[in-house]
Amino acid sequence: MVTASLKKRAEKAPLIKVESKNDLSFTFQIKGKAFQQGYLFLNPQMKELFPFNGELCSVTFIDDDNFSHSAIYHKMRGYMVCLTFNEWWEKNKVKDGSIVTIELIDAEKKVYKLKLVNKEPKEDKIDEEKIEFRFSPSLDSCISYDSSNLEVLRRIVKNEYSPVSETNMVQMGANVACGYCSEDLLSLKSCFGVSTYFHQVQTAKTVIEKLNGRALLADEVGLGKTIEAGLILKEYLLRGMAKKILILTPASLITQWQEELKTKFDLTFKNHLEINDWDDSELIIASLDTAKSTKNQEFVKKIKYDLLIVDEAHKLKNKKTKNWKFVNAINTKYLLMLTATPIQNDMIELFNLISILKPGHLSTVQKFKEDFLTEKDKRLPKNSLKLKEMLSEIMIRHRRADTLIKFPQRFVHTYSIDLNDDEAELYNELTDFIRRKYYTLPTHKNPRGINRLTLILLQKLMGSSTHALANALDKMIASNYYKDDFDVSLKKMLDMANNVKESKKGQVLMEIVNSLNEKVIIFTQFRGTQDYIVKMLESKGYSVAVFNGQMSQVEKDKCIEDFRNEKQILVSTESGGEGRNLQFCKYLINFDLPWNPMRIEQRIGRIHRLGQNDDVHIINLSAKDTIESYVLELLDKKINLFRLIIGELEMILGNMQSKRTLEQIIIDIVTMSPNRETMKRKFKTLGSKLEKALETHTEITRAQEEIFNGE
Amino acid sequence: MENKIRSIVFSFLDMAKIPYKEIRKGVWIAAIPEAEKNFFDNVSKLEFTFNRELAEEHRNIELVCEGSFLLRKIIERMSVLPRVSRVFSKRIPETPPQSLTVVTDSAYYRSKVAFNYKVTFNCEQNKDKLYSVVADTAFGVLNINDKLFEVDMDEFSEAPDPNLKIEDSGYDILKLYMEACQKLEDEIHTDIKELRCWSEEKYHESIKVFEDYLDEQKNELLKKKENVSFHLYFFQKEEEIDKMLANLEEERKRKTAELQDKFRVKVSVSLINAVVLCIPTIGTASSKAKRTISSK
Repeated sequence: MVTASLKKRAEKAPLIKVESKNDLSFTFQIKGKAFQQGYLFLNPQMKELFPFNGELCSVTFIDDDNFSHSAIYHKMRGYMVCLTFNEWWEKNKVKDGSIVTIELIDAEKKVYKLKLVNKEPKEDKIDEEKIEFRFSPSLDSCISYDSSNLEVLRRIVKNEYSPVSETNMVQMGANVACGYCSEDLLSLKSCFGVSTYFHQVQTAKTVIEKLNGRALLADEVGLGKTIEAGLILKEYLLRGMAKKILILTPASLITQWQEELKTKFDLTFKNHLEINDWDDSELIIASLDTAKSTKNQEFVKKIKYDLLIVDEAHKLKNKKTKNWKFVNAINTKYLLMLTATPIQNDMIELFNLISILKPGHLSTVQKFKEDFLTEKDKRLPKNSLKLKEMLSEIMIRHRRADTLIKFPQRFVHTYSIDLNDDEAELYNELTDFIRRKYYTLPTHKNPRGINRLTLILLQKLMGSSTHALANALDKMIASNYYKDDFDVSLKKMLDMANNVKESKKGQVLMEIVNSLNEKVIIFTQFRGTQDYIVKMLESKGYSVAVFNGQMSQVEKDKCIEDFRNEKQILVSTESGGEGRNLQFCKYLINFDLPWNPMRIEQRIGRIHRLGQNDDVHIINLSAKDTIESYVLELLDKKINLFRLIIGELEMILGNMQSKRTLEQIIIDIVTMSPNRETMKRKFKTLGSKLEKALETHTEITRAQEEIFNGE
Repeated sequence: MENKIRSIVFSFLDMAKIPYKEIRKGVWIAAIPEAEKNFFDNVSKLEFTFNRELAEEHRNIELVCEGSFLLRKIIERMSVLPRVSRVFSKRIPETPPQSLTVVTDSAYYRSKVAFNYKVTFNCEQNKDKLYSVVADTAFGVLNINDKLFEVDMDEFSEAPDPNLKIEDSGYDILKLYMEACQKLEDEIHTDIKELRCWSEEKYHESIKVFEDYLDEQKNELLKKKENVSFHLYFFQKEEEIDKMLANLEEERKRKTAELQDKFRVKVSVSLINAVVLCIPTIGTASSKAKRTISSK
């Protein structure tokens, strides 16, 4: 067979003569031409310097000119083969009888130094071209050979043959795997339940093929940035271009991300609670806050990631924050940052985001300001064409209008409800109480006053349901904390609440639910109201799933599954609004209205987003002449909240240029107005400000369009 | 492609001795033995299909298709199983492909070895290329092809003709392999050169942008430092600027290393398998011709 005659040759080959030897090196005299012909036959003394286990091993020799020579050592037969020994021989004018030293450099990597002891001085003129031709490409250091290659050789040497079917199978696998590098996205072929849209596929391809895996994905909200990121990360995994991946997302979205990656992309990501060490798993998802904590950040920074995904990347808008510094310090080959609002208040925010992705791409802050910022408005760019061109190399942004996706319509129905007399009386009593007590906030002298937050809470509870209010009042009185007239007032209101026979809102809710033979989500802010609604619905025989913040993650997931599969109604508190996709439902009832409009937007966003095929109905229940009705009017009439694109609201509110949130402003109006008329007037002024903010937003949107879309 | 994938999966199951059967049209079930459970994510019965529609309908059925993780895992597992087969040509004996031959009257098998390689070019993007080098051990002739060598079982059989002896070429397989590798490296040299040019250009582009950015930042800081004496707490301010300058240098080192790593050209060569082809031959090459290796 092929190797049978090696023994004869080895026997005939002249053994080299060892001159000296120690643990790390040996010096020998070359005899015969075997070395020149690419062989090094070892005598038993020399074998100690090559104490390897395998029958065949790869060994590297580095010569005096730092060229490396790859050899294969046949342990059993005691010789090495190296094709470039010949070139070394000729280059160094080695002769029969020359003395050579082999010295161990790195035992683990099997690297040795090859040195000619009695070397002749080099000639002045070296034919570089000739040497270059000889030593490249065969000594190209960028090429590495799999260690398993030698196993194939060993099998030939040992005559260990496998059936052709097995050899063919390995080959067929290689052929299929080779197709993995084709232009099509492999990730698309194995995704489930993903209605991939053209813009998403395009984004994934552009990021991988043109942007070298570092990009800001800034699609408008609701266009499926998570899907785009999922496609890219799965593609990198399938192509073998990424193994170690970290996703940083707000804590509230971790479960949602995990679930989407599992169900849609068949990827199991572990969250920070499921690992002992940040190096434990190749695929980890964590909140930015957890990862950047003092306990964790050094570990995270030491790891070399292939891909890092940062969701809600606008949290990195400020270069001076820990968030920015931490993410900037993470070592990653590819980086995706996801945000719908790359510019919230200031163009510099965009600059800061891009500085993490590709530092210097937009030059320095100073130069960026000079080149692109107008003095008048920090959000309005100049030279927008140039900026757009620069951004196209790092950022992808799609608008809904670009995608040609038909988004289902949103219908808003507001039920303006007349409260029952007893409800109205209680409402007025409570509102007066709050106005009166607001000026007697707790002080050093009078620490037992009622605090502002509690007053606001009472007002909100009343706006939600008398049941929720009664529960709270009951607890306050039982705490024995409130004395004197506080206590008297609280008791009076509790009596009034308990005496309310029927809730008008509750009646209207039942009428609406009766008229719908569909899945419905009912949102409320308070557990007390939730209990009341659930009890009422169940008493009428409806199947109800209950979702609230006190449930564990597993309970929450099960609740959503139950709602998806069997229950008709989901009654959810605010926590149910965070990040969970409920597109299979098309009716949403706001039993009460949060004063924070962002919360309302989150509620709507759960059902009115990509993947929703039907028109969506938002039903608002609002009691006439209450604070909630003023808030509703403000949000609906002045800024069209219920018709805004998800994500747009924050941008509008940002234009109010107020340090206080809209909710804080509303609270101030409610608590600091001495009477209803003043309150109404203040709400009207606020309405005008909101209208102005909406106008500014329209202007800025136009400007952003100019930056990002060149219109 | 679906047929290829089916063959791979079924061959793999056969090889791993995992029983399977078709339970309804297009759906198979495999009983996973204890020893293999870990590989199959701890399931004892795996229902699988190659049909996407079926898998969409029944989400509990594993879809095996291009891009599925199970297929990838199978291929990865197979790729670390080095395989060598020996096959015998059914053709009538041929004379050796050399000009100087000594014709004998008795036929024998001479060996050729087909090495199948996968070359992965890694730099920003991964690109795999497949090659085969067929080496005639008797005459030291090496031929390279940019596709894998496939054994045509109409032409070859796994059993030898008992009347033919399998002759030893006397050629060292290790040396032959290394020569084949050298041949392969010659072949991919241009690809590597082009890739290296591209990556160097990209690297220089990126590093220039980054260096300019840092230099400008540095200049801005130095300018600030010059004017710091006007500041009330100038010593504090100066310290602060010095610290920022030091940070910039740290950032320079870190980012440069990151970019170098990102644009480094890496090529890995793996020997997928090898097939020893035994060719019925009459005659031997003259000794002079036999010693010389000529690459075609």
